[in-house]
Amino acid sequence: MTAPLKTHWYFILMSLAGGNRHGLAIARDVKQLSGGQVTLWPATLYGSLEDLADAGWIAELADRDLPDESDRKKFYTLTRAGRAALDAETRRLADLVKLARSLSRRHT
Amino acid sequence: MTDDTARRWYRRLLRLGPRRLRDRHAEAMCDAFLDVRRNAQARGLPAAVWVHAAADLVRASIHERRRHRVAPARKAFMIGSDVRLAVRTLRHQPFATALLIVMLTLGIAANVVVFSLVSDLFIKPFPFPDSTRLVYINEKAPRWNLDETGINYPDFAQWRKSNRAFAGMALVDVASFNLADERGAERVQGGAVTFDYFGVLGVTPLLGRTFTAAEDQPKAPDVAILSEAMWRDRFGAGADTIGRTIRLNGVAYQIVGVMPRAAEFPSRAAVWVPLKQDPASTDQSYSYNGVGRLKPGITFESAEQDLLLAHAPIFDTRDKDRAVSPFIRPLRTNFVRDFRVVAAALSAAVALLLIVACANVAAVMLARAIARRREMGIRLAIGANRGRLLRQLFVENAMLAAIGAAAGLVLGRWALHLLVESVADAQVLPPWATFAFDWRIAAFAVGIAAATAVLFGWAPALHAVRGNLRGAMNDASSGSTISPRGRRTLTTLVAAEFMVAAVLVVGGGLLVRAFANVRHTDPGYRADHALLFSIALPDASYSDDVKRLAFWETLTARLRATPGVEAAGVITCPPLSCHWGNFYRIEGRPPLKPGESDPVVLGRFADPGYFAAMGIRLKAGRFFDDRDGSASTNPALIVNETFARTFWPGEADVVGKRVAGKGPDNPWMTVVGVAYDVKHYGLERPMRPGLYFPIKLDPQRTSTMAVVIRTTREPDAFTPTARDIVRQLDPSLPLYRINTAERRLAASMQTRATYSWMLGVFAALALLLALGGAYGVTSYLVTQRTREIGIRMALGARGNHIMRAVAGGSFVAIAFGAALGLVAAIAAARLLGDLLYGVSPRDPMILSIAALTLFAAAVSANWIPARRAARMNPVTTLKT
Repeated sequence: MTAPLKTHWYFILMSLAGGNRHGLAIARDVKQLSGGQVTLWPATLYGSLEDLADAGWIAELADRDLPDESDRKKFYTLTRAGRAALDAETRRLADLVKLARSLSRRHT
Repeated sequence: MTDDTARRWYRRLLRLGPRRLRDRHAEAMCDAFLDVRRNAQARGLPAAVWVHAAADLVRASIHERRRHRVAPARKAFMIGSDVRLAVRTLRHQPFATALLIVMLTLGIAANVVVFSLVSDLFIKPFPFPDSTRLVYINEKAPRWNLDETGINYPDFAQWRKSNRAFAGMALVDVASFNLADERGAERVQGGAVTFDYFGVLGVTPLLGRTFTAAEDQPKAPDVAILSEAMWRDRFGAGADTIGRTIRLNGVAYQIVGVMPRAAEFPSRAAVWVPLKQDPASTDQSYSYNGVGRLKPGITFESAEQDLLLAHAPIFDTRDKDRAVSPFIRPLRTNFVRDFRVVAAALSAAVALLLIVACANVAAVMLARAIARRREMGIRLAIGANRGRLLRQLFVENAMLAAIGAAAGLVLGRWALHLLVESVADAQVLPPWATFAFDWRIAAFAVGIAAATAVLFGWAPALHAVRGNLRGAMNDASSGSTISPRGRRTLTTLVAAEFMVAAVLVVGGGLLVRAFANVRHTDPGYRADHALLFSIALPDASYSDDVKRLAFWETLTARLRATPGVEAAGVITCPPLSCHWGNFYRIEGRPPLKPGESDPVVLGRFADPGYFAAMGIRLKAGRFFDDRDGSASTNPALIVNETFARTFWPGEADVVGKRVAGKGPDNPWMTVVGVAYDVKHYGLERPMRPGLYFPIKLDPQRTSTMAVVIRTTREPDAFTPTARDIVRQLDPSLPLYRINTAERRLAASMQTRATYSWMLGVFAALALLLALGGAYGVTSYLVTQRTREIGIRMALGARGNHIMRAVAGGSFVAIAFGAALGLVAAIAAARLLGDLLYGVSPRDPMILSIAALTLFAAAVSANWIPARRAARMNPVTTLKT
């Protein structure tokens, strides 16, 4: 079984699995995906994006054509490795849930 | 608060976060923050947002720092790469590296030798349980100028009865025995001890038991305890040894026990017998050594007070003059007293030597670091951090130090082995000092490696990473002169080396001079062509005086008849051996005033042949003849110069004057001759007044004698002849302490010879290292200034100008260092104290020789590279 992923990493990956997004969009998406449970504060958000980029799970997209240079936003996309990591974590969680269910059935 | 204000504040708050995020995402982060804030405001928590945001930034900062610290596995890998890099750097310059290692090895080896000596003599505990509670006990008589009189048995009995501070106390009398069995006659070392001797030391027998109190009574049956070595040697380590007998001095002793090796103390004892003294005797002889074990928690001072209190009844009865009183000292101190100053001097010397070696290595490393400034500059410029560079230098230093320490340990232990071997015969070192390798020495080697790495590593390391990059890049470009600061540090190091070397050279010189003085002291006899050996006649077979005197007379007559023997004689105590001291009355001398002290007089019994055999010269009168001593009235007596000077000061003719033993019953004896002083206690020891009595005066005292023969050829060649002659007279008598007078004299100077020689070697090493260091640094500076020299020559400078410019500065610095060192040496030499044997710390000869040597070293170290500089061709130097 692989090591668990940090929760906010998992949410960022899930969010990017739904399409390329820039930072603020990811934060809003995660808030929504988690039903308001997970708030990505700015430093956590961008720190995680840097870490994930370093790990090669997400990649920064070339700038979209935007009129204002200072207002440019960085868009991120999920890489093949990122998708694999997301799937692995999902499987891990699913296995855990399955295990927990079978145990609770036996005990009750 | 409007969004704009919030954005401004959050931007300020961003400083809490990692710089990397701030640089890359400042605007986006502000947007994200405002978004979160809007959501939160909807829920009415304005303040909490700011707290959260700040915490978020701080957390990210912490995370960032952790991210940049390299993972452990990777870090180890980097140390590995540091080591690999260091190996590569060091191997790149094999000659310089070898030189550095040799210098460190020499310095560390010298320290290992001295530390091993110090460790075994002063630090390592005795092989007895709770050895710190063991004390040496003896008596002193300051008014008779006696530091140690030996212990009087009735005194001891009194102390044993009434002390409170001692868990136990015992006496030991160093003795030796004639051991005769089917394997022949032999002389064995041993001790006569009170029954609880082993109990006080805390040793239990390997086999059998120790003595009982009943066996320590006068007229008790004869019993003996063997040493382990003796038991293995003579009895094949048999379990049935207990109960068997051993013949000592012709008497059978029943063996009751075997003692382990640790008990062979303080001499190399092979057999022990009970002392069997009577506490009720009124004997006034002082001869035993005492050991005591203090009760736990008792200090030496309070134990001594307690002992004096226990001694008080003796002052009241037998010793109303309070002349003799007991004292104690820690057992170890008793055996290492002679070595204390020597050990301190040697430790200081090797520490200085190591400092010179380290200064040398530092200079070389510094020169190298300066040469590498360009490399360091480039590495810093492309982003290496200073810590990393320092670590790499440190790894290099640590490797050099470790190699030097390992090699020094091996070399030092080997040298120590040779040293101990060379003094083994002279028995100057206590037997319990085995100098085996132990953890203390290993720890010392590790410690010294660390210390040297720090000592020589700091200067180069600081130079390597300090200063600005531009400067580093510029002044390290090839062929240009190095920065004044670098040059100053280098010359300071060399000057310091010369200063320390000067201290060592002067100290070594003074000790060598002192040794020469001691060696050239007139011993008062002719040490060449004289053979000495001892024979002890056991009471069992030589009970009467006639028989004893007849033996000595026949023996000397037969020896004299041997071809190649010029003279032969016997004496109770030959030079450099025993002491038998007494007090005498001088005819016509007023009785002593109260508080006046009477010197102890050394007494010896000699036959007429002794003086010629030993080569003692006569100052006035005559030596003994055969009739001396046999008549009961007015027996003849020979005094030494010191006796004549002490008791008849200013009188030219003392022949015919009369002397008698203390006590009114003793008869007067007439001085028939004055002999020149014989250095009985050693060449550097003070003289005591001395007397020679004819052996016939008191044949009781002639059971153990030293035989001296003067030969025409190599004296050792006569040992078999002497053995044969003795065997013909009595095959049960062993010859022992067989040695030439020359070797005995040399052995008495062995300790001094050894430490003088050691210090001389250390001084020579220091000088050599300083010379090498100075030469290396000047050469290096010349190489660095090649271009400058070329320009100067092209502009018309002459060879001697160049030489002055190149070598002048460092020469002045070295001369200054050496001069400081000479001054420091004069002060330091005072600490050598008695070791100097009267040589003044300002001895002009030694000081001028040292100054000249240092001067010559400084000149040659600077002159050779300077001349090379002066002979350079300016064309080639400028082209490079």
